Amino acid sequence: MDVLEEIYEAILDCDADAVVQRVTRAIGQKLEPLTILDRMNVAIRTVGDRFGSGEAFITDLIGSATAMSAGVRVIEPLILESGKRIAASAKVAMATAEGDIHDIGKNIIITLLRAAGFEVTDLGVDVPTERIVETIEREKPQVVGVSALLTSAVAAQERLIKRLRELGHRDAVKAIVGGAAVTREWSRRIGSDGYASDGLTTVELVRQLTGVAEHD
Amino acid sequence: MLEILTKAQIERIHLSALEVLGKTGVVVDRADTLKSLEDVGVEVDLSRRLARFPSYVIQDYVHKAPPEFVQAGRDRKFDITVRNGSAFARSLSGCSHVLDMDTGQCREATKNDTADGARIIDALDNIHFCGGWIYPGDEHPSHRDVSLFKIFLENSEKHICLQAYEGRNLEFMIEMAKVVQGGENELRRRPILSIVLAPSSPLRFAEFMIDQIDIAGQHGVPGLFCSTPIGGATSPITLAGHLVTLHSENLAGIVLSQILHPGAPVVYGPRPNTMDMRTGNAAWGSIEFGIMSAACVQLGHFCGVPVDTYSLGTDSKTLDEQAAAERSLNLVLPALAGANLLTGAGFIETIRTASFAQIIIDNEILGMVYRILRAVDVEDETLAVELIDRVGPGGSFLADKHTRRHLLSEHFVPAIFDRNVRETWERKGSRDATQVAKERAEEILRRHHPEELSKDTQGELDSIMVRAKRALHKE
Repeated sequence: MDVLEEIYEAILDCDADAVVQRVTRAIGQKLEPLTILDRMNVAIRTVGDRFGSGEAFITDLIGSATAMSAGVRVIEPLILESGKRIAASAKVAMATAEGDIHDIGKNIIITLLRAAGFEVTDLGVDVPTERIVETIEREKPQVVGVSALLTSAVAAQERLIKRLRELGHRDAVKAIVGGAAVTREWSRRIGSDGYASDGLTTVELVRQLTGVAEHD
Repeated sequence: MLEILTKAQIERIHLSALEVLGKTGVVVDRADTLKSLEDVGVEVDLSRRLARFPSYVIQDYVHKAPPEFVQAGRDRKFDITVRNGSAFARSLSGCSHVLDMDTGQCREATKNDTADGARIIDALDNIHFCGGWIYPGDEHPSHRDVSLFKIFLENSEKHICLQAYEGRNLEFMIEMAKVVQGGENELRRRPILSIVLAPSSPLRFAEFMIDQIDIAGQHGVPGLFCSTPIGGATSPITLAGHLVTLHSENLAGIVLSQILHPGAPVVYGPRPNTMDMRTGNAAWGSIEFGIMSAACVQLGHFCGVPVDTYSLGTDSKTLDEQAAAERSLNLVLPALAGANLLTGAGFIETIRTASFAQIIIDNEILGMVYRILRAVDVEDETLAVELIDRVGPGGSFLADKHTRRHLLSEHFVPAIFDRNVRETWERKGSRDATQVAKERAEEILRRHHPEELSKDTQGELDSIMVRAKRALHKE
């Protein structure tokens, strides 16, 4: 088995130590960092597909994603050094609404989006509207998602959309909402670009909004 | 474990049954058997064919029944050991009708349905052996049971438990079983069939039934004693009186088998159905069925024999909420009481009609019940204090190896029941559990083919069947 195949297998096995060790070996064999990264992306998409079809559990996906991140940390400096850019299909920023600290759902969605090839900025929990706006201005994601589990926090979703309108950014980014406290009706009422009720439907929604086909 | 009867109540019911067996007695309608009973101290009234069992005879002989034995499959991987402490499931035995997969209509079953049913059971993980599920209506009633047994041997590698119409029919089945298992000794060691033995309530053993008790015992074929009194009609309506009748009949049957063939493998099988007094119909989904089944688990274990309860029963005509509620409750009660064999998967309509979708759903319900039986595993690894400390407040357990390691053993993962959000469920066709189950059954029928019998074996079975038809045929 060549080393790229071994990296692929280690990601499927959720074995972070093996990924790091094998990526290091691949670098030693003078393989292109971007070639290594491509293979890792194939691995994580395989797990993402399996999850989508019900063959893998979310724990497998997260385990594989964690293992892949360990490998990415090894090659990232080399890619930056080489001046080449990592091509992502689209950029997404995700946050838990201001006033809410629940992040399991948001984190699952981030893992799924990354597995689907999106570049995701995780803004964390209890994120003030202004910080989301700054991120949009600075990083220019195509999609921004705000999640809320607490009913008291959904107002922050409305605030963000209003603020984007005031600043003239409303057309620059697709704003989507989700979380246990959110309904499709609410999402329409506040003028968001979309609502999704779980991880897989969020990936689909982001694909639709960005025009990124599956395995683009 | 669920103890629906106190120890004192078990003893009272048992002593009451001993009183019935000693005073009222049981009809045993075969002269030479009455003679054998008399030889060991049973008080026999030949003119009335009545046997009154002194309690010492009951006590002596019930203890000759083995506490555990094997029920073998055609393939060894399907062998199960029947004993206290384990729980295995099977389909019911005896549907004359099926819900047609294409039309959804109820119709008489054919040989094709019998074969399809056997293949579906063969494919389901939580159904460990076959009941003679679907009787082929296109076979003559004089040998329909033998034909069913042959079709099951051909279409499943699991053990088969079924009824025989008469002793001669059972003999033909045993002949087939010997061919498949490799001879008399091998059949005795690894019996591939077990036989349902039912008294005629109240308190009668017909000649054709005694013949089968005798033949099964001769060949080491496990006998499942299924006392089936109808509460209010063929037993008292009171649950305690119903239990006394049922316990008396099962004890009499077991003792009878042990007098004829000491050490013969037997199972205590309660079928405590009730009469619905608004219609006069027997109800097999009544909640009293489950309550009494749980009680019978205690009564059977009190006598040291494994217990088979009829669970998953319903009187509903369709796969609806009534079916789901009745079968789940009547399964979980005896299962929690420690039943060793859980019978009844795959039927609706008071054991008349088989449904392929239903048995897929039952496979799922059984998976949930096995999870209940494993309860909560408490040890250092599962308490996970070190892990909780490592993850800490606000952390996530999702990414930890511990979660991956224990996922499948700790949580039941449904194959049929849906946990998607509405959007995903709608995108996948808005299918309810019945529809998903039906599609799963269709998929099994397309893809699952148990290993075929060897040409020689098949040839021998075919020729036994030809002889059976000739010998058993009645106009």
